[in-house]
Amino acid sequence: MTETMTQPVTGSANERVAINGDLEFVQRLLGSGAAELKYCYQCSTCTVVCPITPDESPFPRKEMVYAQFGLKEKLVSSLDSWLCIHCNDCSTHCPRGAEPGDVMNVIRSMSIVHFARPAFLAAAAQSPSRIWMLFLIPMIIIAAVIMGLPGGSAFGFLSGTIVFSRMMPVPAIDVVFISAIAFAGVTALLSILGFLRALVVEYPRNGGGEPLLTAIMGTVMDVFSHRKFFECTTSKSRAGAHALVMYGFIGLFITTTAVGILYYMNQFGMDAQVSPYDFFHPVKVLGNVSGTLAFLGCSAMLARRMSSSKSGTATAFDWTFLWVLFMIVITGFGSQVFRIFDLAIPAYGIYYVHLVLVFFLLAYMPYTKMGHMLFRTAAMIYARWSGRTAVRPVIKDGQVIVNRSRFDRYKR
Amino acid sequence: MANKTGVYICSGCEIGEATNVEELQQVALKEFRVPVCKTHPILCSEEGVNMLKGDLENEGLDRLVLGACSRRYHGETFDFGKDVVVERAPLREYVSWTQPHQEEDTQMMAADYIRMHTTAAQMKQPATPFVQNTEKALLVVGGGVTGMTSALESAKAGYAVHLVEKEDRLGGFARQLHRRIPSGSPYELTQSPDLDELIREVESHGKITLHMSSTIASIAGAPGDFSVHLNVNGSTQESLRAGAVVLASGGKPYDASKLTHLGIAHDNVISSVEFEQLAASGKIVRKDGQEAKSVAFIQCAGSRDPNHLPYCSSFCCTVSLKQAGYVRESGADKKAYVIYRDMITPGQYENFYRAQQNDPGIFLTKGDVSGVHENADKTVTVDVDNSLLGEKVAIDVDLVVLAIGIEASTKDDPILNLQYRQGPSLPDQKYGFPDSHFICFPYETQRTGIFTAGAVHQPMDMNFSRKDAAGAALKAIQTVELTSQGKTVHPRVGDETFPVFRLDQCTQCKRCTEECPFGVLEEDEHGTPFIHEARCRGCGVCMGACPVRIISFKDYSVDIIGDMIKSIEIPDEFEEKPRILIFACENDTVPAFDMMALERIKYSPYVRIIPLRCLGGTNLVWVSDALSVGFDGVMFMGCKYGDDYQCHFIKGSELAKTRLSKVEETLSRLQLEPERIRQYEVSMNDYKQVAKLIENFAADIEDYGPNPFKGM
Repeated sequence: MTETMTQPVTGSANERVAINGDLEFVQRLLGSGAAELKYCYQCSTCTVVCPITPDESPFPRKEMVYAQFGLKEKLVSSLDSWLCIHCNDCSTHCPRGAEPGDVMNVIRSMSIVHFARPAFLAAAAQSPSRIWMLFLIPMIIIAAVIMGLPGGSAFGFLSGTIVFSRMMPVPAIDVVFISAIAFAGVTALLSILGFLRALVVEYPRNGGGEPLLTAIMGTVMDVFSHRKFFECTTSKSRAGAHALVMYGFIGLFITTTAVGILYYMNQFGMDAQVSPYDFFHPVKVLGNVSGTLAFLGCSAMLARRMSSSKSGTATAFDWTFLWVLFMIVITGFGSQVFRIFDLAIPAYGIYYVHLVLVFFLLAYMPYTKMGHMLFRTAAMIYARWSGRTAVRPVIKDGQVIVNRSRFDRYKR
Repeated sequence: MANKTGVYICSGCEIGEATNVEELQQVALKEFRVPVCKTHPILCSEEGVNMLKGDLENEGLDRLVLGACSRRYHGETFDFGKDVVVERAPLREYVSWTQPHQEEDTQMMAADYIRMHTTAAQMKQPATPFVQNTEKALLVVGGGVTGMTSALESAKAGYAVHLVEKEDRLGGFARQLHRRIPSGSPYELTQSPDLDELIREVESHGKITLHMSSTIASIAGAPGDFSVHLNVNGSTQESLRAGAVVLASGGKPYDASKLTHLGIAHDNVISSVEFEQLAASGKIVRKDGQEAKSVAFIQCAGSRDPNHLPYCSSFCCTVSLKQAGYVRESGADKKAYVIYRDMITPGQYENFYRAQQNDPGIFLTKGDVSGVHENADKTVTVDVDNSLLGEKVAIDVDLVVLAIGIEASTKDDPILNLQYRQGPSLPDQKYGFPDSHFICFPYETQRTGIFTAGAVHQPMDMNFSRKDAAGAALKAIQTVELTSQGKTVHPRVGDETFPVFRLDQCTQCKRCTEECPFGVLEEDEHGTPFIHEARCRGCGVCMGACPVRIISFKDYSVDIIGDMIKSIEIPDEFEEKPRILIFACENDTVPAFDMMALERIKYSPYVRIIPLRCLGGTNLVWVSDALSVGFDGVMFMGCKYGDDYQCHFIKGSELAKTRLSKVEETLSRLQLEPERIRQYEVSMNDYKQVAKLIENFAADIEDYGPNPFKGM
């Protein structure tokens, strides 16, 4: 009788995953900021203390094993590593100094390179030796626009009252930067689709998932409140700095948009002031307040990165992005200051740098660390939608109390 | 022989405050009519000791009863030579530090201890050492790293050594090694096996006599006088004399052909021993000669497995880490997987684990191997369940190495071929290793003067084996030295008393020869026992076993203990004056009582404690003695037994249990509650619980009511 026949062992092969240690990829990870990766001996302390470990998967220990085996496909589509906010509780408690927090950080940048389209731009953004090309593109475009503007000598704007729109009129800015945003939007969409496709395979939706709209709303609330971020114990102050930077740049984005709107209102004959504004003009105030917030946030982040090892080790990828943010703020204020003191060459020069950096920030959004806005938000929405829930460690008086049952569960 | 006893009561250490010392003196003087009874405020002071010395000389005393501290203190202070019997009544530990001061019960207790120990002192005889013509040369069996180290260490200490090796060259298993695991700081790099230096040293040492291509035909005799016969080249015989033996015959790798569930039958599945040979040959290849690009090491192959070896051999993980290094050294693109159940890298080997783990081409995961399959191209697929990778995974490799454990070489071969009544081999303990007591005496076997070292002792690697070899050599040296002085060896080091048999009353029942844990006793053709004194460790198990009570020591006998019991004054009234006798094993329970005293833990004043060398020496007549004088209950306190036994004499507590089980019946016949006699397992660190045990027992006795034989 056929039904009494036992299944051959290979019959279960469909649930058995072939594993092939990828030595080359391990070496790449080791060389990109996860140098301590191999110290991990899989004790699971990281998982026990991690505030976002899902119920059924020992994060980040499992990712550490994947990384030690060089399982690239598993790593780049790790949903959990994108939910990780690098609070570094894991690295703080790691008995071997394997720095799981840093490894997750590297995994995220690998994830960006893997999914971001076009891939060559993503690769350039991650490469310390090629990243200059990404700066060169806006330098040429913006210079060309300034030079090529119809009407008058190219450097005519240098004489007379300093008005930045004389160098780069608002419509020209809009053309260049809206194009940059559009480019970023299209590439972001392509990138995120690839990412979501991988997530669907690796993390099928379970019964506990939220409806899509609820998931989106919940995520937006989480992002704006920094709820998860403020739960970090090891690096609580990072959440504050991040909030300052985020709200600062949102403010700056609104400021810039408002400038454009007022400009067009004025163009259409409405009673609207155009830049430069009075010091107490609401747009001006918003710009300066936002700039100050962003400045404080960036400074805090830079100071922390430079002084503290507690928040993990930064890679070139982290540094570039942070400096770009910081310099956008500095050049923004710098332009204003030199304008007020009526020093034309420094004022216009710094404004040019400012424009190049803003272009970099917007156009390359999916490839730089800015991509985290994209991937992390997508991951957060996906996690809510697919029903992935975290188990919280017990924290008492600032100490992580090891939850035995949790530890046992993840021992294997 | 003169029998003049002096009783001395120290009033220091609160004894003077707790008791009325004068009344205690009256007990000795009136009841025992001792010629001298004195008291001293600090008996252990120079003045006190001089007083004792003076009295020994002037009064002609030959026995001293010291009502002072426990015999575990001031042993040397109160040593007056072997002609003077010194009996210690521990009034400090058993009375002044554990009982309320100046109470009637406390005074009665102290008086009883004076009675018990004065009685004992009057019955004891001075010890006489066992003198024989002692051979101090040592026999080391096995010419591997362990045996060579043991021989060399002994020779360097000045002892002649006979080193017996079955092969025609020295080196043993280590000769097969490609590299060895690190032996010193920083414990990160493998080392060359480097045997040449050791072999040269052994071969050139003037005190070492090599017996190559030789096996042991037989060993007879006792420590200090082993007569050894060798088979040389399988034919000729050679004989020699040795004082002690170190067995360093190593282990044997577990038979990998039994590991069919791990695919040993496949072409490219081999044991770790075969892999070591492969690496030593210079090429890590598959069976077909092709280079092996990836190798998977499966840990615990046949270890920690009830169907194979149930234990952990402790070195296989470190060995696999070393061998994974061989794979990586064979090419930068080579990969090694290690699938383990628990990574066991004892002590400093943790550093080696870290170092190997840091190699990006060594992939480690915990997991259970559920299958090993051969593919068409002869590569091998290892199925791993419960892996840290989260799913059931399959790993394809060119070669699979099974990390096998080790068994004692004595498992199927006695090797020493002892001419003992108890058989030719060393008795096996846990897991078939001939270890006698792994906690306290790591090199001991159950045959006195014969020690094991290295992998025959327990699974261990070369580094641990070297240390083990030196340790065993020291034990062998201690044995010949103590034996030459006629003294017993560990644990009653230096004891000069041996069992004496009144053979005219022997019934040839053979219980003593059966129960002696160390094979001390043999029988002549009539079944009459005779003793090899030098094998004896003085536990007294034979004395307890003898149904006709013909075995005794000069200072320890059924009669002495019996008379100590009978000397105790039992009040007729039971109310508030019950009496409980405690027999306490001197190795665990007596120290526990001393520790209770140090911490001033109080316990019932109704108990009287008699130390025994070992609970295995319990003679049932003491139970009837105790009951007939009116004791309401008897507690036997000895060490823990079972697999992780703590008995210094293998299974004294267990023997006591067996013997006491026979008492139950008798008690029931006498209409006595069998629970009046109870045995307890007390280890030294249980001392805080002992008072509670006594309290509970006393409460039960109260329920049973008085012993009906009281006052009869």
